[in-house]
Amino acid sequence: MREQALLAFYVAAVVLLLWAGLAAVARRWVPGGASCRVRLLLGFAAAGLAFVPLAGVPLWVRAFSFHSNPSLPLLGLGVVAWGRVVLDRDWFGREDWAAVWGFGAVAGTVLYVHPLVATTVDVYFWGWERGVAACVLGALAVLALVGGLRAGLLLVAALAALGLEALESHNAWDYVIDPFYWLLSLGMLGAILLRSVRRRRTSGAAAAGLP
Amino acid sequence: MNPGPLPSSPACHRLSPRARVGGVLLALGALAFALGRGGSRESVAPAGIQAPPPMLAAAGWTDAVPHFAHGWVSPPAHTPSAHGSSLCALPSGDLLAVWYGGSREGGTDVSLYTSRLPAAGGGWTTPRMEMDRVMAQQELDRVIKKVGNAVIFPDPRGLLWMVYVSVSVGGWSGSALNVRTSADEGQSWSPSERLTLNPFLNLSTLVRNKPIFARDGRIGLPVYHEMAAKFPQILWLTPGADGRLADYRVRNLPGQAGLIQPALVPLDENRVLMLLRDRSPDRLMHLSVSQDAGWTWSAARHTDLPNPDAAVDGLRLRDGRILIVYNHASRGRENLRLAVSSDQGRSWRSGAVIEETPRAEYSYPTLAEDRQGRIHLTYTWRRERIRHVSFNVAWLDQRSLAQDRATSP
Repeated sequence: MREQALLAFYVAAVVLLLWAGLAAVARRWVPGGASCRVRLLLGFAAAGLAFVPLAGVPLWVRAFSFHSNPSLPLLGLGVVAWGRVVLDRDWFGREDWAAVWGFGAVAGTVLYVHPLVATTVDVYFWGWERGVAACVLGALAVLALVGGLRAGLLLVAALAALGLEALESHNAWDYVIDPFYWLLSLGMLGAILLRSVRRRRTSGAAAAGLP
Repeated sequence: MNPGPLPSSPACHRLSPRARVGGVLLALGALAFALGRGGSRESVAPAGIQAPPPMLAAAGWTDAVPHFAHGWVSPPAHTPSAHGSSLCALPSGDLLAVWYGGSREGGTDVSLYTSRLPAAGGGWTTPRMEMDRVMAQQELDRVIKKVGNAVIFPDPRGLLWMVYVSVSVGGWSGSALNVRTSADEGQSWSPSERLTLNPFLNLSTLVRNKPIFARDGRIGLPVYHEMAAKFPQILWLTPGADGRLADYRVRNLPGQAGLIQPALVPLDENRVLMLLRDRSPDRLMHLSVSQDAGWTWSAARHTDLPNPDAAVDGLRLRDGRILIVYNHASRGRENLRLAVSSDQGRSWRSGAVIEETPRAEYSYPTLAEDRQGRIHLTYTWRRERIRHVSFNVAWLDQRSLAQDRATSP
């Protein structure tokens, strides 16, 4: 039963991400943006695509084979992206994005890089200490929500999914971070940093009266 | 997911005070739910190890007549390539071996096979295909490129476990582990269950040797990690009330970097010896000791025995000595030897030579003891077949004595 629920959850996640991807492409290439009807049709197309066999294996199975434990923040970001391109709703503000990318970059770096540096510390093992991990996540979620950040809801979703054991993994850290979210976070933070450096240079040059 | 162009944080993106209170209550509710569903799963060292059945039955055992026999587990030309056998004694007294065979190691046509040596007599049964890429794909609902190393063992309740490697992406360092159980000594199996043991796409956990059994029911299976950094790990499997897997977690072992394929030998009810394959240029067999039933381990130290980056296995004999089987060379796997330690691994006395042929390969040995106290060894024979050797302690001592006489001045 749990296996069936897990697979249904995974199919839904793949369809949602495909839908968001297709809608983003349509938004970019269709002049004036795609109509509501087209966006809905793209949803059906995404559902169909997820089951298209590639060399005999449906796309969603290929995705599941490679990445069986997508974190809840990654899925949440998928929902936010879907909201932006399908519903034209921006659910996250600048601080939310900063919190999301900052958390992803720090948590991922600690989890994935520490075995190569500090071999005596086994951070991943603490994720099986459900009590400790859940309290850490709960505290972070409360801090974010008290600060008014909607991004805190991603951690609430992770906690609920952990309680439901909604992923294949039993380890709490897999509910809040995964390699794609980590790499995406590093990339986004890098892009933001680069943009701010360029902006500072441009404004510095302007202040000095340089062409 | 594209953050830009970022809006100038309008107030509407911030939660209202009322929404903040609601969010915090939601977070506390989710926290209580997560804790309620598994907050009590604390990790503590096992209170001790269960003595394996042969240790319990040791009293009164006498088999003074030397015994040695050899044969084949896999029939001739069964598969072009055969490798990675694992062997166990079943509660019924039968022996069961598992290995993988196909056109070549890592080929898509590789399957896991089992064969049984009945206690009632007779030879090894015709190999039975237990798992292949297609079956694994169906049972695990994902793409499987190949299957590999498998370990088979009965737990103290009699349930038979099979833990095997499968690969979806890349080579062996992209391996993940899967578990199946059997309530009828391998006649039928439960569907495979995937274990998530690594945070990075669950890549690179492999298995080779048999486990230890904690008194609280947990099973401590030695596994190892190969991608980027190479190190041994202990996978603790917790069976539920029905005997099947209820929970699991893996502990990395610090201080053993570059060492893989741990083999565990219980020394007594608390202490466990770990033998390790050396991937460093030193090419020396390493060992580590646990004083708390396999939970924490000393830093590994090298032995005087060479290790050509090859798997080893060990067994505690009924008289307390430790028997190991290994390749006695710094390069190549051209021989297979036994060695015995009477001081719990501090020193080793080289024993019988099981195989020795230039440019041939004898590898991946595995040891098991049957109810009669006979020792069984299976290993890869020239990558073509799985060989079986059985002997008893009297034969072992006789050979050691002969070796001593031959080497004494």
